[in-house]
Amino acid sequence: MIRFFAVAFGLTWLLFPAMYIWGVGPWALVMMFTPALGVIAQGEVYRPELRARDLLVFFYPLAWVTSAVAMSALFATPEGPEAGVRYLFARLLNVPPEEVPKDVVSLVVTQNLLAPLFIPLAMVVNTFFAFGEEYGWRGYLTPKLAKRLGWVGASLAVGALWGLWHTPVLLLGHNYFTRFWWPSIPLFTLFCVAASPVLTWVYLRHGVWGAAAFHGGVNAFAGVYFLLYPPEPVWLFNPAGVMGVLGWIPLALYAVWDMRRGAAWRQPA
Amino acid sequence: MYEFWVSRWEIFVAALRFFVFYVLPLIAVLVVAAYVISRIYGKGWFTRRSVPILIGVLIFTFFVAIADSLVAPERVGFAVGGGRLVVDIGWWGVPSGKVYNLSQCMLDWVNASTVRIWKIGRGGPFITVGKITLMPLGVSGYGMVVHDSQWILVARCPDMTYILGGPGLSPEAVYD
Repeated sequence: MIRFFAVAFGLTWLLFPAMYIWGVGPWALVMMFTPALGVIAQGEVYRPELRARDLLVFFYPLAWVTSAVAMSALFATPEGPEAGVRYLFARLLNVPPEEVPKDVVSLVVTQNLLAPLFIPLAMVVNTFFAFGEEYGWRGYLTPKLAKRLGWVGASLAVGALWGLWHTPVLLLGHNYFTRFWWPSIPLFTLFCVAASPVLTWVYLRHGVWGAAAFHGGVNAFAGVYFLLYPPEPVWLFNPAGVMGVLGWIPLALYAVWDMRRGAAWRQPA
Repeated sequence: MYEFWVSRWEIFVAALRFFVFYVLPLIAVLVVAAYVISRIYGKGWFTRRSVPILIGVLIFTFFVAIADSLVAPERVGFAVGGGRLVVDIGWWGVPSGKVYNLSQCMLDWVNASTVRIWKIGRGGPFITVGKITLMPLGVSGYGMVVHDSQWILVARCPDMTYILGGPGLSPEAVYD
């Protein structure tokens, strides 16, 4: 596994200067393939089967977004789409929320409401890029560790490693909008640990492409949360924040329960 | 009085930045993704024959990205204020050596953050020269707009509409 870790983590950090100088942008997409490159470097390439029905798992993360919104509703009332978009723009542009032009906010809200029209494209694109990660984390590392730790233990361990692997982009403001905001690392690691059992469960039922579709769905639908809650404070009301972590809890508990009784294992790894 | 001038060298650097910021990462994503899929599914896309072709395409793309900057005028830019508007670009349909009295032109100011720039001409997001359209306003004209412009000047002069933007350009900078 040494070569896997060296490539998955090493290449990611090699990309860090490029992302720091030129912006995260497409370099983050290159980064998403480093776990798959790690498996190739390790010389343990396998060939996951791609079945069309597994791609429908792309929609499962809507359950997580719903759960995160439900958790948030326990603490605060939703503010509606304009407030969320205004806060996001304000954070990205580093200006007070009231300075974001109303026309821009309305345009983005309309674009978001039209987003379902682009779901087929989003499904293919997000699944494809998430495949680069899932091929390594779920398809290679989780079964390896599961031999020693069991599926639940392996899920938690991979979740922690997977979260820490994101460190370079987190330091550049990914998910939390602030560069070099150190709490983003433990917070996102917690997020990944909470999400990981669900991804393992999906992997066991739908294979690597299913896990990739699920991961792609998380990336695609996370923004829906902002249509109801502005990211203020960013560590709390944020799909990658405490509310997002809490949103995973019921799903992760079900996944752990199902894996413990062995029922999730309907698909050969 | 506000003046903004850009040298050929600066245009070349902007073209290079565009290549490195936008084109190179996209090529990197495509190559890495294709390599991973090729290795996993045994597609054999990366062979002794295809790799040199790929490198050739990369070099060709690089030259396409920077080519026009090599033939740019030595200096392009504009000045506005003191009752006059000077446009000296001479590239991509934008005239050079034009001097107008500001009283001849109708000036409008547009906040750059509220518009998207469509262009026919050269330039990525750093230096845009040529026929420019401000959307959603639908205002068209010839000129240049540079990254970091906060204000864009739309000058409707007798023979042409100019769209000009540069760092620090603002109504105050012109009228002070």
